[in-house]
Amino acid sequence: MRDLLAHADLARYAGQFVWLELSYDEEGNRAFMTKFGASATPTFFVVDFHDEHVIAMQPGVMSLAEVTQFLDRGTSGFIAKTQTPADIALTRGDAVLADKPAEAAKAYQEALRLTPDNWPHRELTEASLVQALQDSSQWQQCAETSAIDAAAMKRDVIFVRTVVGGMWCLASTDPAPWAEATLHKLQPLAEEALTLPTTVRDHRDAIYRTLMFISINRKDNAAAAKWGGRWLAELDAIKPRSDDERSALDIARVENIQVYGDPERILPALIESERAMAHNYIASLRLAQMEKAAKHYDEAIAACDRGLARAPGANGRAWLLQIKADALKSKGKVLEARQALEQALQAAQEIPTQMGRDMNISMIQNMLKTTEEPPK
Amino acid sequence: MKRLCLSSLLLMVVVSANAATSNLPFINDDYPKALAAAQQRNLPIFVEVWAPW
Repeated sequence: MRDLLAHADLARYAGQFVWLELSYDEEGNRAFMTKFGASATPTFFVVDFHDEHVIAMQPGVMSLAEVTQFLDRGTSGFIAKTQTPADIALTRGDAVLADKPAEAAKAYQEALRLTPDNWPHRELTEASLVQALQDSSQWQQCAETSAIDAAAMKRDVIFVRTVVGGMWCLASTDPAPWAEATLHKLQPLAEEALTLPTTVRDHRDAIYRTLMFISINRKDNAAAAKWGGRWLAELDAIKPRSDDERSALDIARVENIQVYGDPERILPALIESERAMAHNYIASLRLAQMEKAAKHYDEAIAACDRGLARAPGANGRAWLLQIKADALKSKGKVLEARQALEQALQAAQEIPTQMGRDMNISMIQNMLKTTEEPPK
Repeated sequence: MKRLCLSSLLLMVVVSANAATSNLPFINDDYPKALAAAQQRNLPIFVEVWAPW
């Protein structure tokens, strides 16, 4: 995504915004994360400095066309005089999408009610509505809205985003007649999205993984293996041009195996990446995870130690130590596992965002409870 | 998109390159500075929240 922001086509926007990038890992950014409620990475905002309100917000990767549209929306929202009531409802939806997705869904629905069919932001708003329904766990309405709206959309990135949202909602629900009926409409659209040249890798990843999750929910492991294998083969055919891309490929590999598959299948690629990105603690973390999943506990512990030597932030330290503790416990080294968990707890206290901090502390405390000290 | 729940956090990652090659003059990790620049130049602020993992 950051490679995309360097695209020459965006240079014409240079003087139209103040450009800010904020690392989720940086302690100093905690106030912003809390105020604006970023719940995913990447997330993009356009903020009006007057009262620091959000003009536009978009979670997740975007294509170049989407970034351009997002920036145009940001500039027109800033000027405000050009906004119609529907534009204002769309802006209101964006402003609360991160924190109050159910409210955002209502704002997007209002925007759609207020506009003619040819409103230029209609399809964008439909996609955002699906996102808001997904984020507020309204699975049935989300999947059904996605299937209906996407079918009528032109086949571009917004179509794909709408389909992806609906597929996640189907993958998140228990088997039900409505889900089966919606799947019959949505899966062909998902497969069509895979054929489009505009479908970005993150969306391909989401489509394959949701197909895998849905297959597993239907107890069809052969189908899950088929979709997973197809995606891994695509990933292996890509030669990474940067560390960014190498990381993205590895993330997709790990996420794929986490749904269904044999971790041994991706270990060679992860080992190569750890060597290629000598200062990247996450490369070690991913390798440690998969070594542990493959029951190679000594290798997992060694990978954690290499990651810890690569100067991770608080998040990274907490995660690496949790994996290390888990591997130690699997080897029967309970005392060492508890020591690692105590260190993880210390690291977790320093995580910049409250959500990340609370989640990690809770997870580590639960691990400590189930990692009993042996009787003396 | 990467949701910030632990199970995902442990899996994912991305992006480690900096924006040095960008045509866009990014301010790094300094919202107050961006806010002041926006007030001075009367411009909206584009913000990218990213993660090194």
